[in-house]
Amino acid sequence: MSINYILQFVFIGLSMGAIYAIIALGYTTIFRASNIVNFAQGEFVMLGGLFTHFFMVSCGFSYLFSGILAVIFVILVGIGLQLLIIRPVRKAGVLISIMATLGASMVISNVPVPLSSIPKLGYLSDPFTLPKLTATFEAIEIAGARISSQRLWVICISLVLLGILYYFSNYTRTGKAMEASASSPLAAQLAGIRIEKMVLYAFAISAAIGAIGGILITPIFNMRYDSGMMLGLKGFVACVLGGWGKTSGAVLGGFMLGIIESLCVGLIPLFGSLYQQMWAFIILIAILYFRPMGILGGEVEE
Amino acid sequence: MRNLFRNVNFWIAVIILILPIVFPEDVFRTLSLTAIYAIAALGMSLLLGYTGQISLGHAAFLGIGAYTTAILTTQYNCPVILAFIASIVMTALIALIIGKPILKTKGFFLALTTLGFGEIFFVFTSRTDPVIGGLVGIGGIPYFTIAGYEFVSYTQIYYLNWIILYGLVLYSQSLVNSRSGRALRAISTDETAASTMGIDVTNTKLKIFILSSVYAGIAGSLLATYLSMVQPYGFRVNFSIFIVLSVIVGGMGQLWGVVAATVLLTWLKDEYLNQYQEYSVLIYGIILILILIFIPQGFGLLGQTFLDRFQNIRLLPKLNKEK
Repeated sequence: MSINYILQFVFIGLSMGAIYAIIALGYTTIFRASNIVNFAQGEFVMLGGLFTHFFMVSCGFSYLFSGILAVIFVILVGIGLQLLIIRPVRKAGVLISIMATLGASMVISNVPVPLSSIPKLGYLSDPFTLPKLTATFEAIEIAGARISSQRLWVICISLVLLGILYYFSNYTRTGKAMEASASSPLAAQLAGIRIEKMVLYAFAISAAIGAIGGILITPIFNMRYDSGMMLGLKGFVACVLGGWGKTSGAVLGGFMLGIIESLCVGLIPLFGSLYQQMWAFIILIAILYFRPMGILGGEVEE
Repeated sequence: MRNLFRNVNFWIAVIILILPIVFPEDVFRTLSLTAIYAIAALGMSLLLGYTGQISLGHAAFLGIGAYTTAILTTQYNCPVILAFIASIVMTALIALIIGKPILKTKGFFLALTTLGFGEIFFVFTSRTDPVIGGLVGIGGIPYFTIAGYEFVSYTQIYYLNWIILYGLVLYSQSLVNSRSGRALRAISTDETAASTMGIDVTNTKLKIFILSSVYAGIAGSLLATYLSMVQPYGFRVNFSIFIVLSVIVGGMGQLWGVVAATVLLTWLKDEYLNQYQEYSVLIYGIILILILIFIPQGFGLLGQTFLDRFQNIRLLPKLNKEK
């Protein structure tokens, strides 16, 4: 087993990790503004890919335009989710809000099924893919390991996106107001922050980054209308791994999860790839057992 | 004798016994299934309704029970009753192993972790493997048999399942009204306060988690013999949601209420919505959300919600909000 071989899986892990980091940030953004864990987070990612695919196939728009439209539509879905479902159940407690976001996830991921019975939309319930961002060059070689252009794009765009979001949530007035509205709703209200508006912003932002993540990952990932749940769960594992509720924790956890998962698949013979989807949860249970606060977390959150 | 006639349990027993005289056999196809779901929901009620711990991976425990029964009966020619007991032992064992790390978490985290456990089970069972059978699952599971007596017709299965369910309700009632039942409610209200009162919170939570998994294991084993086949898709997160929803609709801490809710929801899911085919999951999801928005405290308190909204009259003391 050469170093190139290991490096190869590290690169694959980095690109998946970038997506996990994006999903994890989606959770963190909503949690920091409203103390709600949105179980429908993975659906935003799936919808980003599916909307782009739909606009390209059925409307014949260009890749870029479809992508932009898709992000806008997913933001609308995020806002709709907050207004129609989260807002009415917010006061009813943890259990009800968990079930409501799960219900939303169930509804969103099952809309393509009846739609696919319409003659021209039959493809909606099939696995789909998107063209790569750059077709001109296939892959570059670093220290003997090849990394495909799409994976490089995923890593670069995610890093930029993460940077923007980090700046937004920690250095702008709106970002700080969003955090204030979760940590002390009453004090935030007294300071003139409109909490409901902040929660709405949080949903819109996390829908947008989820959608962009979805567009980036679809060309290299086996995407289908029901992939959202699994992606969302792994994003959550990344959150817990890095330290719950922290932007930096979400990013670190995302990349670490991607790399650990990819190395498990690549380096553990036979079992590794057979149980590819299981590693994330084995890691999750291990973290909860040994270090429930995560890597960067200070104290155990409730 | 007078007390007997005032007893809810007595009247429900009477209803269960006389139903087959009144209705045609066809009805009992769904009602047998309902009892199986209700057993699982009952276990969830102990865990969620009384102790306040959310589990979204409960379907996986049914799956463990069902798969244990399926594998033992079809591949090792084990008698059904032995496979039934083995299923219970197996679910208890797995609940013990995973319960320890999982129950360290609370609220959202517990929900997502148990959801993750459910997905692990799905991934594990859906791989192609001669023993587990992959996505096709395992078929040809024999009927439930006790000492040579085979439960073949729907009416027979109905009696079997409902008698088991009835026994479990009685056991749960005595449990929740005992000292340990009060300990559960104390944990649900405030864990710190409960531990100051001398309750071993970690241990009690683990015990109730194992007990509710055993209920699920019983249900799973019965389900395997009822359907005569098991498939990984049957034990996914949608089913876990269904079980939790039964507890919410039935009302937290209402044992017969949960059974009634299961009857209603099973009819809705397996009978009524089936005619809509590809729309069924979608409609089911929308109904789920509407229930959560409009009657988050279940049907037990629906009347009170109405009175609150229109007249500000209070008949029942307000329930403690979930933390």
